[in-house]
Amino acid sequence: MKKALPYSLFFSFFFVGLCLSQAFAYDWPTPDFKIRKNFAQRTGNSYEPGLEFETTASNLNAPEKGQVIFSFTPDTGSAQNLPSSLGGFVVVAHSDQLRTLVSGLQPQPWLTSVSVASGDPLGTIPNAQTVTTSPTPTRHQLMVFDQQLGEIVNPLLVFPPRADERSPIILDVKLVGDSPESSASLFAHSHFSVGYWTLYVDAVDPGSSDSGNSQKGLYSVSAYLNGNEVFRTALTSLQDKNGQFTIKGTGKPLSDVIVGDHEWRLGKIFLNQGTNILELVVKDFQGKESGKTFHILGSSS
Amino acid sequence: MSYFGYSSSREKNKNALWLILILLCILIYLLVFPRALGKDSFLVPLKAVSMTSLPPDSQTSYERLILVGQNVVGLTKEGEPVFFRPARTLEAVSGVNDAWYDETSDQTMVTSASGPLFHLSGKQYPYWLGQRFYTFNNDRLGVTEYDLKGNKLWSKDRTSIITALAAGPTLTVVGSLDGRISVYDKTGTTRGSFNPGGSQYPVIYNTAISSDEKHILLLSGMLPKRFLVLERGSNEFHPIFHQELSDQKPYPTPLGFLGGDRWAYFVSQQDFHLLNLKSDHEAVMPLQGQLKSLIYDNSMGLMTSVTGGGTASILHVWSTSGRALLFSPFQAQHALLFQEGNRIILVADQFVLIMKRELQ
Repeated sequence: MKKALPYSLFFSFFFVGLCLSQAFAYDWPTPDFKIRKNFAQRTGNSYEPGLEFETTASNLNAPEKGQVIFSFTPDTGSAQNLPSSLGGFVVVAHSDQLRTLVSGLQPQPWLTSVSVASGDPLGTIPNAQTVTTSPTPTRHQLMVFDQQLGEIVNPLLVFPPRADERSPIILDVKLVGDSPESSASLFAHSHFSVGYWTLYVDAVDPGSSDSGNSQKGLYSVSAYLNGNEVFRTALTSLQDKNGQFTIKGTGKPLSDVIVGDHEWRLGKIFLNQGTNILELVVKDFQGKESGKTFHILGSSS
Repeated sequence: MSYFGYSSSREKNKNALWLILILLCILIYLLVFPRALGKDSFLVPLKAVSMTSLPPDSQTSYERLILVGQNVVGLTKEGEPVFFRPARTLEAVSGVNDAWYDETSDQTMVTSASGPLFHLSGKQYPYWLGQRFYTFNNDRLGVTEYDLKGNKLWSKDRTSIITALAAGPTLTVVGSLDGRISVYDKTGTTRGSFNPGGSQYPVIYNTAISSDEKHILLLSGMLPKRFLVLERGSNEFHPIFHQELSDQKPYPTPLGFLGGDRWAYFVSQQDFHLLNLKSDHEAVMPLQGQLKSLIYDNSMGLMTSVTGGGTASILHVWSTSGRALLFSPFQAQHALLFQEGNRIILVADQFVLIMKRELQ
């Protein structure tokens, strides 16, 4: 029995190692890059369906071995020259039913669908400066699609973790009543009338120190009122329900939850007479979290 | 020295007899196997105009806008160019309709020849299919249709990149990277969906819908790529014809209908395939380079195409049986053909060539 323990430990470590090697079989399209926008981050009326990153590299590579199934170069003479912010892009289908899309490049001049190995060049970056003195970064998209489940997957679930020294920041928390003018920040007010209020949180993830001034979206938000969970959502993947993006696990339309740049609508809460304790926890993907606790005095006036 | 000059009268009679006999044989052959004399189709150049000297704004009225390469040209009904200018940001044109993103006002402008139709706030990605106006959102993961007054008709998000879009008078076909097509009506109600399958990697590369909205064409899948014809049933579209292709190009290649829904065409490898949808008879014609533009003359049953690669282009006239009738190489990277009556107008890079089709 005593000898069985080291063996079981060995196999446990082996199994964990195997899982981790499988989990991060994918590698970033370039080693030198900065993430600008996180998965499902809202900017204006559009949502980031993957990750937006910037790099000074001159080409981007296949994240994992697979089959090139789509290669697009914008050209007015081409069939289905559909417009988007993607520019040229390449889609690789992998053996685990995931498909990765890398955009903002001039694809390799493939005449047929080819197999690529991890790290094989997918294309060059147009306008990439070859002068190394002050290269201008170019912006790109990285998306992951789950072909089996029909979902858009948060790339951070698939790609190796990134260093992150900074925790998310809660910029504002407000309660909005039935009329839009009955809105107040919990940073400035603690007295509210008894009844239903809609809870909004404005929070950003400043990310690592090398991310510059970019304020990225969060990974998850949780809220507790008087010890009871009233909201918990993590952005793992997006599904399509009647032609609308919904957040997996909640069934809620993305546009109903993330309602502005960095603004989350957590839903309605009921404030009781007396003191109500509202706790908020926001997390980035690396697990760094920030929390706030508010004591809200509910009064009948 | 004439042949008959020094011969005897007997020889002359003999020769005359032979001549009469030969003529008689020809006459009998023509009577037994009657055939009309073949007519040759000619494209007679009427006018060639260089567009570089044209004004950048429309001084006179125009009937058609053409986006050729990175430029926009306005043409009269007869094909005469009236203005020529660099394309605006994200500019899309169709007929006299125009749409582009105006960076100074941060608006997407939609105009017609008579003036502005409406505008949309922010940077949109406009796209025309005939008279129908769409914008793409969320990096091609969503599409929205507007009417020409700017009212949003419907909007759909998808969890896969939209790779193909086609529209009939009332229906819109949306094809995506996950190998699925969805058919929506003008209210956004789903009128059908189809997942072709049969390939290792499901993908929709191109789609087209017939003008009567009874048929949909698809180029789908990889390993193998397939060509499918779907027919509208009582509720759904179902396949009535499919063909595995040796083509493995990982990008959209041309596909469409000709002559209403009588013919379907697609490009596979280096061949142009023309399928008679009534008889399933297929004609295959070799292409030199890529198909850049194609028109079909219904009355004559002739196709005129521009093919090529890079700046080397070729103007072809084909019969639907695959017989090449005319072949004319020229230099242009971007070329577009359209037809107005018996005139064929070729817009190529920076010149317009107006031709007339004649049968002789």
